[in-house]
Amino acid sequence: MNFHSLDYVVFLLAVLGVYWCLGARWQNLFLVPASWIFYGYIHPWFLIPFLVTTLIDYLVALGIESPRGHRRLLVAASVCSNIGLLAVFKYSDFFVTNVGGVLDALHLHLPLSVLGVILPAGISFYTFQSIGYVVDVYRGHARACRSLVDYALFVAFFPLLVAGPIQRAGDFLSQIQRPRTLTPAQFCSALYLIIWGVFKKVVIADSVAVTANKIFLLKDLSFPILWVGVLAFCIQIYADFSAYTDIARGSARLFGFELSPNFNHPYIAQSPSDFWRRWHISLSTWLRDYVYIPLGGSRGTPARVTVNLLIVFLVTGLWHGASWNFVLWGLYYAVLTLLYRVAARLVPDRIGRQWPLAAGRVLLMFVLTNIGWLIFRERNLAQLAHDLALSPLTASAMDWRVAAFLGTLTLFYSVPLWIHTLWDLKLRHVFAARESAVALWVSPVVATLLFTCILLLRSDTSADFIYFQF
Amino acid sequence: MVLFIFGVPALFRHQSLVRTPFDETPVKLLNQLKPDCVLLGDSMLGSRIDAETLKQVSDIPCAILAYPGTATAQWFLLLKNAIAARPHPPRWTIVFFRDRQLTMPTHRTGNRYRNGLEMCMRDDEPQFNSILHRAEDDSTRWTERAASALYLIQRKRKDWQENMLSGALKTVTRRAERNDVRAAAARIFSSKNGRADQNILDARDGEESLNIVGHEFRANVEKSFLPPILEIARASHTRLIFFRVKRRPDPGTSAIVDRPDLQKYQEELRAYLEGHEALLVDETADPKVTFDYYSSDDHLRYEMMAPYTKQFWKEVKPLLGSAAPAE
Repeated sequence: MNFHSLDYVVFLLAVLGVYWCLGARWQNLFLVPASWIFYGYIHPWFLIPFLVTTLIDYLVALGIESPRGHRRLLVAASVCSNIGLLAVFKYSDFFVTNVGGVLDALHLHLPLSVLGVILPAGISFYTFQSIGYVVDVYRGHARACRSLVDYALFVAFFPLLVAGPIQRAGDFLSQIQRPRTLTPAQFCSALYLIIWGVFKKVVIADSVAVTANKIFLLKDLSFPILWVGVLAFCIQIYADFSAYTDIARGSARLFGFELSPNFNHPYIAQSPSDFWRRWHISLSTWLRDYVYIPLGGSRGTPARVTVNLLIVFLVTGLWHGASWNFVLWGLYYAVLTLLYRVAARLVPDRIGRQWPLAAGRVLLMFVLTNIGWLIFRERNLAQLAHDLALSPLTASAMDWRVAAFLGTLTLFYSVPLWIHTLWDLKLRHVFAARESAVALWVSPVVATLLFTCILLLRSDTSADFIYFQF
Repeated sequence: MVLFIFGVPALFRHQSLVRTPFDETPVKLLNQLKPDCVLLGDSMLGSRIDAETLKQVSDIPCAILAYPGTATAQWFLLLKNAIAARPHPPRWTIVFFRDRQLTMPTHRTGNRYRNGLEMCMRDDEPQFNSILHRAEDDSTRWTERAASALYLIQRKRKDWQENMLSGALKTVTRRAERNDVRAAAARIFSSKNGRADQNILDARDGEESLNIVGHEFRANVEKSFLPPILEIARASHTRLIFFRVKRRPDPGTSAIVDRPDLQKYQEELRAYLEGHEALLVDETADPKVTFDYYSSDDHLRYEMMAPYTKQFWKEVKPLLGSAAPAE
């Protein structure tokens, strides 16, 4: 079920109505099947691997805490089962295809067949959340959940099931285990988040997607047309994914839950590390805590740190999909991070803090991010090489004019994102003293305006959220 | 707060705020040409019939009302409010259509088509709305219907989207350049420049819906715009000829053989039309219209329009019968 569909509105209202009529004891029990219905709405079979992994991780965590448990073995079993699930559904076809290609090149023609199964939605999110839970229990950062219902809700809670944010057991399980309330202020902020999320999806993301999709389907691209397509995709993917997160957080807040944020204005990042502190925060912190730091993090020899960075960004790339362009995208960020580390040693810190240079760094990082999005978006490596080799000098004047037109259109649609950034960074604290007045008067007016814009400006064509495919 | 957010946009209900005014262009064209024969249809007509060639080969005054991206809902409105509304309606109206289009009342009536439909509405069009709503009840979810009824302001969506486009264009180009930039953008994004046929997003939405296998004639005709179209034609003494165009055949072939269900549909359509004083001309089996006539889809190549128009008139002229003015 899509968050920006009317089906979801009906579903959410129905579930909310019943949920708040129930006593605290029954609320979790009710949310679990409701979440399963949400998840299995289109493909009921998606529930099979999901339920299996839920049961395994629930039992493993209990086993880890039992006095006679083989703790390491159990963690390994849980990690293997989750990674195995990902391997079968997400990576097996990629692996078989590539192995087949290598064997063919060696004239060893073996009959290898691909599975060709549909990737269950959200599999990368819930497996990582489950692994995080088991490892946290193993490390003693969280207690194993005794209630199967509570644990099932931890994994299945529908607002975050399909595309995160990936939650930590220590925070989210404790919210599940205590009674929830909903204050009028919470309700208003939740509603605002949902409307803002839907606006970003159907007005911004879906509108600029028209430009991006059309350009990435062209065979004869010129330099300006290509890069205006990349810019459109850059706006699209941020608006799309952050929209999902906002709707998820808003929906969860209506049930009395607080989910962790996933974005912090990523396009004003000044370096690759800064970008990953601002983009898909729940994934980058997960990878930091469960991959990078266990590998040794930034301690150790430069060679060791380099290897650690390469591994963690390789995992980041592969997490997004079984395709070479995602591997390349991960490696691109690894190389960028290493280059920035070298540069940081050469440039004195105080110089970097001066505002014209800071602005220059933001601009440079924005350009580098866009190169990254080109690698991310273009799955055909030959086409990618062709795209990267395009020269601005060979484009016609008319191509530049068309690109200026499409780029301006993209910027028009993205204006609300920039206003939102400006509000968060510069204006919010100005109005901090008048927060209640803002909540009472400004928020409803802005929400009404956004809703009216949804009615008037939403795109004719609306696709699934991009991160559903991961 | 909830009432305020979701209530305010629902207040914009006045027709003048949400409805596009009637477009007099077709009426003016008919007044100017005073045609005996009107050709009505979507881009199947627009990409087939060349006005100049038609003027040369036809021996009677003809008018072409080609509205790309339209279907029976808009043809009904054009027939009622422009063609049949004339003091002396034309003697013949030839409607170009594809396959099962005539019994698909909701085809091309969604939000993106709303402006075009409203431009052909004289008043509240109760008959039109009743047919459309009944058909939408069958094909649209109640949630979508409720949202459409509550927020009439959505009907201005096309205008706002166009405002965004033209705003961006005006920002970066001078007035004299705008048409060139739009044309260049259309050229860059034309299907010829796509990477692979199967990857090209089909901007001409609604075409897939013409291929619905289970759509039967008898089960759908009474719910469609066809009966009122026939009734209006009868009342205004204009004879209807429905011209089924041939869709693009496969490369190397010229003949199209309908699947059994489509054959049955066409037989029933023919019997129905003949029972209501209308005619059906089916071009599908015509071997003269070969693959070479077509562009990448059901539209004809520009250079084939003139020869096609001659062939078309040759085909249709005998049907206009002895009532046609002498040459």
